[in-house]
Amino acid sequence: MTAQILARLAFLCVCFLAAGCQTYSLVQPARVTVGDKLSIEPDIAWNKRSIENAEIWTVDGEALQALHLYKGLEDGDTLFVLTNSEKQEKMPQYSKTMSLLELREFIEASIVQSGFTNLKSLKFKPTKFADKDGFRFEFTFSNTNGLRELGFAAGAQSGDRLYLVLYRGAKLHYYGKYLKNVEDMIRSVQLAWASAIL
Amino acid sequence: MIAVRQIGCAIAVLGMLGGCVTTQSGPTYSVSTGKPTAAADDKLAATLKPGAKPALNTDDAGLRMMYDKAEGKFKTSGNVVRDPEINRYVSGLVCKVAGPYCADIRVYVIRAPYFNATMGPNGAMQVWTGLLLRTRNEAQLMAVLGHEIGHYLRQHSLERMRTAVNTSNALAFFQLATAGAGVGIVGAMGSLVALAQLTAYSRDQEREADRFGHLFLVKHGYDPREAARIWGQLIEEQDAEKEEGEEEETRSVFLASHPLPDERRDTLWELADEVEVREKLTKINEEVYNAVFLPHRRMFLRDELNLRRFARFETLLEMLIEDGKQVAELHYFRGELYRLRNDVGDVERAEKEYELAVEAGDPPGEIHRSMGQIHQKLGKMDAAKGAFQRYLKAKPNAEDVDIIRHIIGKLS
Repeated sequence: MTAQILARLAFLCVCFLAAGCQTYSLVQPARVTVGDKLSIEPDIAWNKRSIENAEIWTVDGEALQALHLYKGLEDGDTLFVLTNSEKQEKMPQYSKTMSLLELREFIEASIVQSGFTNLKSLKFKPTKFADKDGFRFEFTFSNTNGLRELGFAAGAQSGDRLYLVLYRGAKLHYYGKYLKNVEDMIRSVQLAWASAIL
Repeated sequence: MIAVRQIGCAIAVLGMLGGCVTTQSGPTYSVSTGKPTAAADDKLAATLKPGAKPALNTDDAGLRMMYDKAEGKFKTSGNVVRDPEINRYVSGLVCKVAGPYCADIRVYVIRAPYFNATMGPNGAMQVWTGLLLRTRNEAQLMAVLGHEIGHYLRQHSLERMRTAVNTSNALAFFQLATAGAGVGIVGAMGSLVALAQLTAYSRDQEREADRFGHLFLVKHGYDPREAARIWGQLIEEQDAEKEEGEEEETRSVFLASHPLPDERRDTLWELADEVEVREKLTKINEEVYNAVFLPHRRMFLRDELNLRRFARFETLLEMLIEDGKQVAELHYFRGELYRLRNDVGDVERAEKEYELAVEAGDPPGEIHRSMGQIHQKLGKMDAAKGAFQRYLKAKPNAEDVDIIRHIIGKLS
């Protein structure tokens, strides 16, 4: 009887612990697809987890550096999904009619609405993203612990969707640690239907 | 397992403190001299001696240690405003109010767009930039600082903790405190704010602190009606937010407490009316206040805009425009508000505000970029191109000149 109770308790503990864990899988250094259209070729191994409209990749842990790969935002989509419904209501929504300047404002406002502060954008430039006319800008902000972070956004609108990559990391060490790998990876982005890639 | 450990820890701490609770009734000290004074004769008498360091085995020391830990986290954070003039000014006002307690208080100006100020029992004070944007003169800021210092001098946090220890709230108090008291609030000061929420002041304590704020204003020759005016201004903002259904959970410890804002405003008006020499108390030091904060106001306004609490921001801008200080930037930000809100008619409203900003003279250079965007939306492509070109002229080293040139190229 006692053994049975202990076994049940152990099972409950395992369930409890598992519920609090994020599920990550390994991304090998080879071309992979994210969603139905975007593909990318990492040159090192990453850990990834999926959220509704993106994949989040990291090497050292999301608190230290994270790469958000969006599968293609559509009208009404938000960049981040917050658990607090009141704050989520204030989260800006993507619109296919947004200009380049509005796209930056959309990304900036999403970062601020997520609770980050002291946001400053830098070096906003037109650039190619998967052979499309796209944009890129860098930013700095303080995270919820007051730690300075650096990041950049690169993307392009294709069809009615916004394809976007956000990379951010702690200013001290972790942002720069894989920056070159991320830059190389972004140059490898292709937008094509998955069937054409496979 | 974690919960069991926390409860065990809480019980242990509770037991430890339970045996050494000290009594708060004791000597009182003059805020002017720091020397013992009779509470019955001195309305500003403190229960705390200047420079007092409680013995390590007391509950007071335990509480201060929790706040020390929280202070250690936020004082090096990127959210602390380092501008020397702002720090010198705010610290100077704190010292003016605190007198012999000046050396016991450390002031941190925090870049956070909410009306908030907190005071820990360890002497760590936070003043948020959202408050500095809203207080309109030195008297109003003094009223808030005096209020917070009142909590400190009367050891309200300690009193609240003891109440908690003596009631069933004790377990919750220590569980939260030992868990780090993290809440999803702006920056690392969240842990301190969470602690402040745990020791949330009672109705009577808030009234006492308001009375301290009022008495400090009178003592230093400021117009005591300014304390009531702050509440009037905040009520206007809150009403606008409620009307628009934008009301969000308040993050302000300063606002979250009872009594309700209108009751506090009315009580402070009554207190001001009762001052016999009120007609002599006219000092508000608006010019000094503006000289320190107006050069930074654009940053505070930008942070406020980024929150997208449009109804509240619109009301705040209305009040600031009435004040008539640097109105060009205020019209610019009202234009930005309308452009980003993008409700029916907002494009036209934004265009009008930008024009008012230009008329007022010396608007932020970014206005030309915003006007370019509005002209684009209205289909006025030549006007848009002209506005973007003016932006390049006004801000030749801006970080987005490449993209603006690209946009001009597309418009051509």
